[in-house]
Order: sequence, then C-alpha cells, then structure tokens
Amino acid sequence: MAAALALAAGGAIAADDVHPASKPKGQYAALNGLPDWGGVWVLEFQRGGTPNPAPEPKGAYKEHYLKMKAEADANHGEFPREGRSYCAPPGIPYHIGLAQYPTEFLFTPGRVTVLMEAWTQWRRIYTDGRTHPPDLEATFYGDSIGHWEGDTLVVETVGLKPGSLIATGIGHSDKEKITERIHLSPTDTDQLMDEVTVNDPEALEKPWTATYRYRRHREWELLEFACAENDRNPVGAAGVAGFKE
Amino acid sequence: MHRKAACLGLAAALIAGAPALAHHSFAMFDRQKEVTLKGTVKEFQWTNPHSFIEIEVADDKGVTTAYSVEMNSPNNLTRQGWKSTSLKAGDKVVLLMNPLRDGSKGGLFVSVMLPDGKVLGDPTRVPGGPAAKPG
Repeated sequence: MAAALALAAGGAIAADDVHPASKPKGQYAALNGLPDWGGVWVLEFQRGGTPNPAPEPKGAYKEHYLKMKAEADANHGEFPREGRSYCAPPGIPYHIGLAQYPTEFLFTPGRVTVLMEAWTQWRRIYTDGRTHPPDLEATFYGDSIGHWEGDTLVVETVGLKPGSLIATGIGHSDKEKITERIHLSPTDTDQLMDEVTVNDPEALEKPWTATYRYRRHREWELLEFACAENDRNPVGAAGVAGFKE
Repeated sequence: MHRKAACLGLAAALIAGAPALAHHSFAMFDRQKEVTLKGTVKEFQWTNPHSFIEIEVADDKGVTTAYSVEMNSPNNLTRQGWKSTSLKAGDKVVLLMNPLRDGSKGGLFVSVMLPDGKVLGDPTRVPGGPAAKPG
C-alpha cells in the first residue's frame, strides 16, 4: 500500500512537503494588499539615462565569449547557436530583457506566476516561505523563491540550465544566482521595473546588475506562440541560422 | 533594385515590422538592401515561430520564380494589425523585402501593398511608392 502511494505521487514527495501555495483556501483576502500589477507588460526601449552595463565574463568563460564574438564579427554579427534548436527557450536572465513578447503576473496565495508569451511558458515564484530544494535539477527558468519587501517583490533564482545564458555568448556556472527586485516605478505607475543582479563568482569578474523597464497595456491579452509549428530556420553546421525555401 | 535603408526606416522596422529577434539571428538577410517583388501570393503561412508569404513573380516572358518571405510571429503580427486572412492565395501584391545574402529566393518582410491599395508592415516603407525607388 505504501509503495503504491509512493508510485502514485512520483515516489519522492512526502505528505509534509505540501507547502501553503498548494493549500490556498482562506488565503485570498491577503492578496488585496499587494500592488496593482494588472494588465500585460512589454519591455520598453530605454530613452536617455545610463544604459545597462555589459556582463564581464572571466577565465574560460571570457575565452569562450571572445571566440564566439570573433565568429559573430566574421558573420554579420551572428553569434553561433550553442543549442540544438532555435526553438529552445532562452531562460533567464535573457528573457527578462526580451523585447516585444509581453508578460503577465498572476497573484495567487503563496506564489506569483509570470506568464510569458514567448514560448508560451511560465515562471513560478514561490512566496510561501519554502527554500530551494536540495536536489534541484537545472532548468531554463530555474527555481525561484521570493518575498515582498513593501511593494517590491524580491526574487532569488538558482538551478539554471547551461542553455540559460547570462548574455549572448556568455554562459554560467552552477554557482549562478539571480536576484530580482521587481516594483512599479516610483514616478510612473504604468511602468514596472526589474532590477536584476547576476552573481556567478566562477563566470563573472563581478556581479552584473541591469535594470529593465516595462510598459503596462491593460487592454492587451497574452497571445499564443508555439515555436515548433513551422520552423523553417534550422541550426546549420556552423551554428548559423538556415533558411528553408 | 535596392537602396540603402534610411536610418528612420531601419529604426521603425526594428520596432514595428521586424520579426522577433528572440528566435534567431537575422544576419542571413541584408538589411541594407530592399527588393521589390510584384507578384501573386501562392500561400500565406500564418505560423509560428514565423509567418511566411510564398509569392510567385513572373518575368517578361511569363516564367515564374517562387520567393519565400519571412515575417514576424502571429502574436506580434496580430498586434500590428494582421489577421490570418490579410493575404490569400491569388492576391496580386507589391512587396518589399530585405533579400537573403546568399542570393537564394527569399528575404525578410518589410511591407506589402494589398490589391485594394492598403499597406501592411513598416509604414515608412511603401512598396511601389516614391520611398521604394532606388536612391
């Protein structure tokens, strides 16, 4: 009987591992105290101000970046694709700075869900006090836990797959930790800001910090993007995008 | 039949008309050149990750050449005013594209003039209009 239950549950989840986010009833009233992030948000191009700095890779990560950069310079700026398909999602922090494809935030008890139109994916940010699991399998968007400091959502993400690049040509180690401080602009309540810090003592000379701003569109809805439908741009032999006529 | 893209046109294309940089690099297309195609739509592929216009262009002797023109994804095209029915097979159109660098018969969509004269795509680049002439 016990063995059958364990199989049904995936074999690794004990009853006392159920967190508050999985038992939401009675917790919805508290959500009214959270800030208004309603609508759909799309990245804004920065006008004026200080542009975000570039991450500074070091050691083998720097050598790799310079090699990729040299290939890009020799081919009209195209960095070789390091994955097997252009339909693979970029992960974070890349998606945080992704243009054109909007996101939407859902508040439910114990978690914030980020719906991402690009690749029709989601991020889960648990705010129910749990910690990162000890035996984390790396994924494109990692494992995110967060908490509210006033009206700012502070998020910490670990467990990112190698395919989740810090920036084009810049990979990361398994020591990578991404911290985000997400809040409405103090001067513009239809602008959301995400202050991102990437810590990776093995891959970066110093923590990399960037701020991204998003514009609110209350009238928009998220639409579907299903990459595999008709992919006519395969990864070529040298990691260069192809074109199927 | 090409010209240097004006800075304004290029900037507008990057914001409004260009396919999603999220998916793959567009280095395969020569963004400094524009080619005008006057032809007949064979198929409008309203698909992810990119939509495509398959168009046939006839020369003076009636010999046709098929071109594939890559576009944005349907979600972004929808927000730019497109529908899956915006183009259909048989439509006579004038289309502007940034050609493939390797000379293959295809390119990156810039704008198109529909049979009724309506223009979709980069509003600063009207196909067949004064702005599209070699300069």
